[in-house]
Amino acid sequence: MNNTLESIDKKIRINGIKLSMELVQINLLNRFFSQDFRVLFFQLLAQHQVNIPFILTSGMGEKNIGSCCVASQDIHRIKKVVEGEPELKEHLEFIPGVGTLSIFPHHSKLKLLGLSFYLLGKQRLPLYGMASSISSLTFITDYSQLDNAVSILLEYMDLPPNHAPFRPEIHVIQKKR
Amino acid sequence: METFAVYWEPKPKTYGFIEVIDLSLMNIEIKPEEMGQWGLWLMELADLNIGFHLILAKYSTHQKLRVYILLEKFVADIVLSHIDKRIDPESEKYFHLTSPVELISFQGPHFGDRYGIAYSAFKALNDRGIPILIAACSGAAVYIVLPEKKLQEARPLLLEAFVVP
Repeated sequence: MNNTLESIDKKIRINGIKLSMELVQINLLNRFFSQDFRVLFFQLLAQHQVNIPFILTSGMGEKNIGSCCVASQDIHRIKKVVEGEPELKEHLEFIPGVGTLSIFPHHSKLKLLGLSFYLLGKQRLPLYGMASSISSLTFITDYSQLDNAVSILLEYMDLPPNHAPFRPEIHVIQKKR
Repeated sequence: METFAVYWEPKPKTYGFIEVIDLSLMNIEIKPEEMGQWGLWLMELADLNIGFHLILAKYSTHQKLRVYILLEKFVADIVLSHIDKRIDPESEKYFHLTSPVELISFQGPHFGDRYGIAYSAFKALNDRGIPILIAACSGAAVYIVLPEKKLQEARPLLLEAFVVP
């Protein structure tokens, strides 16, 4: 298995990199391993029409039972919403100034994940979470580090000719009439 | 420029559910200084043609990441023996495998841009006490990993909460 280090000398071909706008990460902490308040949190945000574009949850046996990202312009509204639920509020941790970087496609193979971990880990880039989707791997890091993260990854990943990492310019917002 | 579109649905529509059983959930706690090394080991596993159904990594404590990799059950032993040769015995307590587990995933129009999708899914399962091992909403897709035999209980509840074509 010595070919691994050699194999990263060859760039991996990818089809695209997508960067998010500025987000705030909210960690749902489970200090007493007792109450699952995630449904309450999701309910409050749904009632107030706040979208959560990225969510990760795991079992109740952990200290951090969920992480999610919301648009930075929604954060004051969210803080106001949870104000009425003191027990929930004290279990929330906010990490401002984060962003997501999505690389695609992963082809359900571990190569792209391994290479990303290797490159981002080697450069000690902060990683607050990640998840796969149908075709992409999405990483959460500091918003200010997104361009740096792209440069690090593109040392070993190739975009198609005339392609560049992109930030979506069209934003879809759902509102109830 | 702003464009308004009006759309109405009684329940969120999906493009259909995907169900997979006989899976294993690998759970590793990684310190920041170990991430590069784990990256290399994952590339070695890729060379062995090991694929995944879902990957999720979550900030744990003291800057550690907890990484979950959902694999086919039949490759779990290969992965375990490969990793066992590389990690020191002290690190083994940070490495767990839950097996077998089951996955239900679905996607729908603009799920990543709409509020209330996660609430609909979590509420449906939580109200009936269905435990969720891990879940991820990323892009327009929702992934829910359940303990063995829970998929058959979860399916009708999610079918009730969402519209399936």
